[in-house]
Amino acid sequence: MKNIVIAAKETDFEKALAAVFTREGYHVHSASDLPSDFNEPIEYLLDTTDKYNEEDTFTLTGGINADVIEQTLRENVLVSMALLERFLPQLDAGQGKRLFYISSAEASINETHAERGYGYRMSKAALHQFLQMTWNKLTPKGYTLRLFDPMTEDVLPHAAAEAAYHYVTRRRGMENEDGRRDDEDRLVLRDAFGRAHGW
Amino acid sequence: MPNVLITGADRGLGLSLCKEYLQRGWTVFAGKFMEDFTLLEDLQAQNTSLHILWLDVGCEDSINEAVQAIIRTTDHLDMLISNAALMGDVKCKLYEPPMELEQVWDSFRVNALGPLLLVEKFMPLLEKSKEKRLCFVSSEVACITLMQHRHDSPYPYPMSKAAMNMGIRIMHNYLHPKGYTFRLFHPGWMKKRAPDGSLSETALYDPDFIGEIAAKYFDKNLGDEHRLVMVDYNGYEWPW
Repeated sequence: MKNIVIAAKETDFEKALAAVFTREGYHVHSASDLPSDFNEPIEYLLDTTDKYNEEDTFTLTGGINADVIEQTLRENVLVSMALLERFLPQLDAGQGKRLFYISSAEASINETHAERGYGYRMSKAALHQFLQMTWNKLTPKGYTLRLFDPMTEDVLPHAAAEAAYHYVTRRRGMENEDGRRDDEDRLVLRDAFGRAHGW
Repeated sequence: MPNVLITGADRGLGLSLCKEYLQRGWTVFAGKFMEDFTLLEDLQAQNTSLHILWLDVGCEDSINEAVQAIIRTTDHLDMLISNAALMGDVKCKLYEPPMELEQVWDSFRVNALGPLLLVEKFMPLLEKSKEKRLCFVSSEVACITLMQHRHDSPYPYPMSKAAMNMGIRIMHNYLHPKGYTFRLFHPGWMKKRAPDGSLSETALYDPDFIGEIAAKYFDKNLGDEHRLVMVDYNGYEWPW
């Protein structure tokens, strides 16, 4: 049975995503529950880290809360960096070599119309750059990356999990077995409806 | 004459921008951070329109103190140039464990959170100006699209600059309808200036050359102020 690691099984989306992969025959481990001596190869890392602080609603004239911004950066970026560093040797040993991360179209510098939510959006922009640089480093080793917006406000968790499962397990652009349509040579943010979003 | 606050003015582009705006007759408030550099003091000896103030943009208290220092001289601010940045000698690469993740926060604190706090704290002074121009020195490594294929850079600086660009986007969404205009500038690879004023051999451009280009871009009015774009020293727009 193939091992995959999910960051946690706490949110409805995480539980649904773990359930879909379990149904499809994977052994889904929660990162927080794994013993430190677990050293089996890992196929996929499903980094579902995605924190939004409810106090992250201030505007420039409403009083920037630097503590909220710092906490959000730590939760959304530093945790993900540590998680990848921790499991990288086992991912190197696995066959799948696919990394999955959560973001939002609202964290697109191109697209956002937001006037607030600095912590979440700035942390995700930093994550996007981390993933772009990680893509540079890992694709020569055979890795592929997935960046996914589960559209939490609009799509039910189980539907988003099904979309995420297909996004993770299929080779992007190869559905028709047409090599000319391969699309793995770039990092893409896709949402639960399959739409790509700019940076 | 108009006035401007320039952060990170001890050397490099910040110092060159001070010279440019002094030549144009502006009053310049220069943020000083590096104790071992006295180039600002040398410039001040030649020009009484230069006001030096201690400013660590990574420290909220320091920004508050800088606001109070400027209020003692003027009741408004026409232009803010956020130039200060932390690059640092960082150890934060995959396959070279352990990654020093606190350096990601340090870079973010200075390069992304700093400009945000700077604008927030100086808004009462900017509000009293007709100009209301916010200028930010960014970098090509902020560009997520074109970061592809750049191997082996340490993570913190590019991540913090991408976050900074996002912060500026949100600021733009909020402040442009209130009459603020924005400049986002990629200065290119500039030579470093030593405490004695000499320039390094490495890198491509003299900061004074880039400073002249930047000052013109920051100062002039554009026909498409509703757009937020990052422009480089050649005038080319960069993707996000």
